[in-house]
Amino acid sequence: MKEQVNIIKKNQRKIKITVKQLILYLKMTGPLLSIILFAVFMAIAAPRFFLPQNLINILYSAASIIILAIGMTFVITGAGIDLSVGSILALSGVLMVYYVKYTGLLPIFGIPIALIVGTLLGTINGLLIVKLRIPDFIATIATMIGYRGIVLILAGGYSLYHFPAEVIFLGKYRLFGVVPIAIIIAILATAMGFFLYRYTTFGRYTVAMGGNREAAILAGINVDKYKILNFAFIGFLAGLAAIITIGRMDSFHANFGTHMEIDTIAAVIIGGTALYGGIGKIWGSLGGAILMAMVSNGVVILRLPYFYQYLAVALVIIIAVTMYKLRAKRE
Amino acid sequence: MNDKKLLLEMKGIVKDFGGLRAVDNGNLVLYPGEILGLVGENAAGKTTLIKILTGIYTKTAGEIYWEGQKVEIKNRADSLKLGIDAIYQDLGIVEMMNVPENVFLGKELKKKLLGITILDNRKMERESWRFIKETIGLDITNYRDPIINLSGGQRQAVGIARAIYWNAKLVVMDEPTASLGVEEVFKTFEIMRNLKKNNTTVIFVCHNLEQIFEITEKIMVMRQGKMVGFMDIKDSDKQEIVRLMVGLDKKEAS
Repeated sequence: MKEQVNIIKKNQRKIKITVKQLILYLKMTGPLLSIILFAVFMAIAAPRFFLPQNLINILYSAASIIILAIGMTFVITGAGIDLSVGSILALSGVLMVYYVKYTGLLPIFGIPIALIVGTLLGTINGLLIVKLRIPDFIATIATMIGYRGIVLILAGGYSLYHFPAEVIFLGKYRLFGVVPIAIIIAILATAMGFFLYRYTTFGRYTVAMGGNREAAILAGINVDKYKILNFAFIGFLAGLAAIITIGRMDSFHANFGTHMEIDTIAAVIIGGTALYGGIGKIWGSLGGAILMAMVSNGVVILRLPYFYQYLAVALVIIIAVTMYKLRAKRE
Repeated sequence: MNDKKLLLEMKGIVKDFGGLRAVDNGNLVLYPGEILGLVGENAAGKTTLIKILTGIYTKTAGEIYWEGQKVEIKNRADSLKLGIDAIYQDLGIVEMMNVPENVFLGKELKKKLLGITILDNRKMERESWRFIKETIGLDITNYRDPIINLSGGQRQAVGIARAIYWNAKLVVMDEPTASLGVEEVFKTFEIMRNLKKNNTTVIFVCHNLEQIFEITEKIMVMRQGKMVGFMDIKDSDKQEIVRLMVGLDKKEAS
């Protein structure tokens, strides 16, 4: 009898521990809980949401935002913000398509052009912030407008279509005809982001700089250098996102990438990265971007008018951030 | 004492902030293994002098000699290279980072993986736990938690471990005991004595004269940016120190 009681007690303890671990796990994974909840809701409301083709579409449409969100996670963790990513995407994109359309040179070099231009534009942001001591918010508002201005001057009001396969294959083609390469690139970018965050001084010093700038300086860290690196990195990723977005659409218009900075920041915040810096969640940002794409897709699947997407995404942001606040309070 | 080699000599240090002279003709001589108490009222220039030494501020004028060589300390990295480290009341810690991340901040342990140099997080965890346990005698079990969840004493241990892990030759402690309980102050003193045994020099900035008289052997008093007293602790008493700090002559004081 006694033994039985003991065994029951032991089992009870086991269950308690697993529940604890589950909560801990959910905490670590950030928006996973919201993703599960939303998936359950969709399973009841519109089961066709779960068709493999639709799930792939969701990831496909999220790819660019995922890539940008990885860069934004670093910028925000370093207590910064970059509002110009959409414009960087457009400017590196317009230079790429002009190169492949009008120079007659090897189209494949359009890809490094987009990446280099993106990195340079990001570096300019970093230099403005560090050298001229302009706050991130203001510097990147200025470049958001300025970079977009250059795009408009170059592209005018026209759309460009049909680019050579050498530049669009990353955004357009599917591995084995099923999985878009863009999804694989987005996942790889996330893995790289996680590696940088956890295993390099780039990630470590970004956290230190965002968590306590003064302490970072006292530890001998060159915070200006890491600020510039952060912006160069997100610029590079914006160039990559440009290649993928243009490839997917096989077209370019001067309005390309408008509002993308907002979607990116929203994905990062939903993912659990603290807007005031010091806490970054790379996998959370991946989840945040996927959740937003899921919601947009769900609105379509539920045959609600397109404009309801905005409302739905707004709700997701408010709910996600409220959940973090409640959790933080309890802790 | 004079046959020992000088560790640090600061000569005629001046620091201006705009029109304000924060340090005026600051002089300081230190030998290895000394504990110096640095006292003065608020805005006396103590912190400024120390920040010049640790490379946070650059001096307007004056000279610094380190182990007999003239040196220029232009930034924090310069002072760390010389072996000057510092413990600040709260400033030196990133609260969102955990214990190993803070102990090794700026001096991370690394390893090679497939030819790429990466942070050796495991080793830093093990080392910081071991080091704090062995030198400070504190067993921090929740060393993976953000520092913000740790107690005052544990934080202090992290700050001290940060400074002494790399065998700094000079450790500046800027009001390390201000927010500590009696037992933790006692622990901090034990650590300071251990540092002294290892021939590490300590500059102890403190408002509490009781503590200064308990732990230090030399004392330097600053007032309005100037050094107004530098003496062996046994040749002095609290009254004299207070008199120097506030700037009264002997008659007024008595």
